[in-house]
Amino acid sequence: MSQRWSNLLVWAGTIAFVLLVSKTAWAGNPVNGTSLTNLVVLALPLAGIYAMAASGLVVVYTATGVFNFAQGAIGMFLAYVDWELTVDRGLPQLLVLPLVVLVIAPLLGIALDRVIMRHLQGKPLVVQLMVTVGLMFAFIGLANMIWNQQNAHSMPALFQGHGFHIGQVTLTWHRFITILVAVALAIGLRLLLFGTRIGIAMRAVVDNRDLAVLGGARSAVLSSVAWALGCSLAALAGILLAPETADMSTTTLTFIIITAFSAAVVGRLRSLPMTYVGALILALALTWSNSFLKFSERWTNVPDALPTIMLFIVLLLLPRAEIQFARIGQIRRVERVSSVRDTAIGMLVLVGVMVILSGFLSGTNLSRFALGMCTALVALSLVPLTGWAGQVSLAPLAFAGIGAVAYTRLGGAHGSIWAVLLAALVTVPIGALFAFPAMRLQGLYLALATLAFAAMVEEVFYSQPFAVGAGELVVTPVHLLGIDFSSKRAFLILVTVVFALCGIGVVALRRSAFGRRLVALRDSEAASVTVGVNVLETKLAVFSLSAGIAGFSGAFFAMYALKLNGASGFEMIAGLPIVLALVIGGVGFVGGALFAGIFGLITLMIQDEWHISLWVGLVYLAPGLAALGIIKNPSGAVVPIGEGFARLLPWRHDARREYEEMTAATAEPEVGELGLARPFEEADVLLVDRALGVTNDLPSTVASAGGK
Amino acid sequence: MPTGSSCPYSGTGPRTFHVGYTTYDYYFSKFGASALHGVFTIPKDVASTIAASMPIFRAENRMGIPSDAEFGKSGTAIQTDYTEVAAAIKAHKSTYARNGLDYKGTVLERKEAQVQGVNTVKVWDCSVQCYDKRLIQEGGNAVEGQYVWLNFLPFEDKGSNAELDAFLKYDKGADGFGAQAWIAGEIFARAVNDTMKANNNDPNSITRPNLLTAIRAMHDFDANGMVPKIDVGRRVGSTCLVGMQVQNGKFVRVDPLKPGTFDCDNNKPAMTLTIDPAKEYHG
Repeated sequence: MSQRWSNLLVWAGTIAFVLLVSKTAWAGNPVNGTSLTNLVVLALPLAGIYAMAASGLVVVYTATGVFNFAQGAIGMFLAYVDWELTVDRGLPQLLVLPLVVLVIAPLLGIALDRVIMRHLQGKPLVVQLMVTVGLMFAFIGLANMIWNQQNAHSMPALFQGHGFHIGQVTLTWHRFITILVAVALAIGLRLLLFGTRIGIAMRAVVDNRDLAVLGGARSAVLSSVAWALGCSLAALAGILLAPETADMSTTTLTFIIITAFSAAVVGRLRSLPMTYVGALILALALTWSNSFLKFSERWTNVPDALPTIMLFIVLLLLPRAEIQFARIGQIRRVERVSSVRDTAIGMLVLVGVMVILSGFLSGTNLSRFALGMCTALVALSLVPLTGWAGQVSLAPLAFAGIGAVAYTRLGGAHGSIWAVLLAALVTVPIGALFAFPAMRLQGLYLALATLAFAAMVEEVFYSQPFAVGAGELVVTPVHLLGIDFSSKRAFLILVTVVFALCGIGVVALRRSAFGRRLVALRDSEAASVTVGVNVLETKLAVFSLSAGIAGFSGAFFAMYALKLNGASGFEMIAGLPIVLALVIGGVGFVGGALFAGIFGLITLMIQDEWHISLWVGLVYLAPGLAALGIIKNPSGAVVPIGEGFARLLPWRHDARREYEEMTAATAEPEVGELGLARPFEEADVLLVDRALGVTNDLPSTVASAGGK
Repeated sequence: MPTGSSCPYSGTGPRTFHVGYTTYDYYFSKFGASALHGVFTIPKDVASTIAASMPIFRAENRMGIPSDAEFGKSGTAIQTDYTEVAAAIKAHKSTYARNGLDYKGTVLERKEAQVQGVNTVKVWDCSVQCYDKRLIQEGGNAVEGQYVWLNFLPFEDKGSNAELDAFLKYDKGADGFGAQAWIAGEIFARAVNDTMKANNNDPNSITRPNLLTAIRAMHDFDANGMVPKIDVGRRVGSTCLVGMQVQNGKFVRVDPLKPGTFDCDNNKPAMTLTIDPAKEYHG
């Protein structure tokens, strides 16, 4: 289908959807001049907040190519700094606001760039995204550790909440200033990025770093400027938003950015004016739904899903991603994949350890370990999809949730083993559907589409009567071969065995022709097409496989929880730490999935056992700091761990040989510029000149020009 | 459990709820039987919070506080989201407003009402979730006059009840939910003691089934006077309450005035209503 027809279809579908929803949920309020004026006055401050939050995202993305999930968290943290100085220390806001926005925020941005972001250049998208997700959690953790969330934190509005009337609504000066600042920023940033040398250079670096550097752009400086600017915008948004929350909730201030994603995507993460249009549409849509529509029963949470529905629709309207030709693709070392035999041995050891260990664990710890293994299983679903095929998905828990519902509805209430298989089968076609947008969208946009899908599933799917509905669904663990897995120990062993079998299956798949096709797809779609890979078929297969494994794991999540209550446990935001932990562990490895499970288990134990606020903050801070480790080792933590362990195994001569070769290679002198092991000196120039027959009698004008 | 009302909040479809008159009889005696009509804000994030709020709101409608408007709000809402609530209060000249979300929801609603110049409301109503020092710290003068109803003795009654004093001694950051957790602990302690007593002080008798049996047999629990007598076994809450109001930045007991006592509304039976909370919600 051509781009034009497909866009027409999306537009027609969107309009039909809006009309149908409006007709069904119409509250009966009159639509007249007064109500429409109120609608606009209510929407404008919201639009200002979304616009400011989104513009920070756009500036950083435009200038660095990094989509910063931590934008909201940075704003939250700096808003707390502002609170500390104004409310707690009593300094005047007139002094503190410029200090935070123009000094502290830029310094933080430069520090982030120097320490973290600069090193993300050239790293896989999933690593870039997860480092910023880790940073987001780190800032939440840091704020929770510094400012005890049990205490009151309230930021006063500018001008004590006074304002002026427009129609029947009072617009406070604070909100009016928010709108003005948003508009001023739009104009200022547009001028900066398109009308100044530094702005044009910032955009040029993202378009083609090498070319921009050849043209004289100082990419390191530009990157620092972009992060400084991004942090200032985040600070401004955070400080202006903070009085709109009752208690400066770290999560509310942080996650407002997710609502603003759709506005940023309207501007394709590049255009600030379109981002502002997106923010206005979003705010008007939300206010329209609040003012004129009433949602009940199964549609109760539709208004909350509006930003993500809008995000999904906008992503579908984006032009088809161009296949990258005539560019040197990224050169990556293909990860070493264990043999099926080695994996089987490793999994046997895992099951054996778990059988022995479970005999000593308390009931609570058995449950925690079982949850850890369920997490490992859902993380495993991303290994073929994201690790090998390079298709970033942020919705593993959404598929697990669908699987959990399918298990419960299709026999899981009585512990039927068939229901486990049906859970996987039900999610396969839903996953396969994602292969179609994946043909149009690539990289970041695909990741955002999966995030939007996860949010829509959370808000709309579980409340359907055919899913969970308004009440609770009771779940029973499976009965298999006469064994009842309702005891905690038996269930832990079962889920470990299931993980082991799935892990062996996944490794076998990786070593097959299909596995090689996936890696080819990740390295270059264009190249893989030229060697005969059917991209659609391969994407269909890998999305189906991933969804199937996630759905399968959902059945075990349901058995673990013993009941389903709305979206509880399968929220979109809960899926991000799983992806983060998998990337820390190693997204291309089964061991990475196990690492994610262990990581989740440790986090859970810290959260449950250590009630000191410092340690509770560490629950967020630790994954954030661990994510920074990915920069040094993007392949994941299991690689050095695995290599070190493999050398100890008597039959792994290859591992020892590889290590010796690597040690020998690193002992050689470092290769410098021009591929030489020592500096290229003047004597060498003369030697080359002589060899090439270059004379040394260049005209004086040329020589002097060259010398300048 | 919301104050003055009883389970079941789980399950689906039409269910029977019991809601006491105590709070509303106090308001009617103070402001007049037909003086109140209002705007209700329902916590809509999950089905269970809707199920916990709708029976109370519908009972209030039947007792004589009709709805001018109803809004569903999320726990993550910001103050701007409450502009429409304040606008509805102004448009209907509402005299009653109740927010079923946690204390933050009430703070945001009150602050926005102040911004929008709402001045018709006589009763800003809330339950135990608003009995939190942060309501006053974060709400400031915007939450003046806020009513809060409790099913345990308020902390301001310190010195009037030994159990309350013990709780306040061990919980330095006490709030409404902390008090309820303490009371739940006392129920457990009594169940253990009752089990031991029924089994000749045999410690091995403290098993899950025996504890559940003891709890089901508990019909007159009052945590040594910290709460009114409640029928734990039949899951029926008491309709006896204590009314508090924010006055000059402090929680002040307004009904009944005597410390250590509850208003039991002359033991008036609770209203019984059968509704499907999910169907009643139109946020």
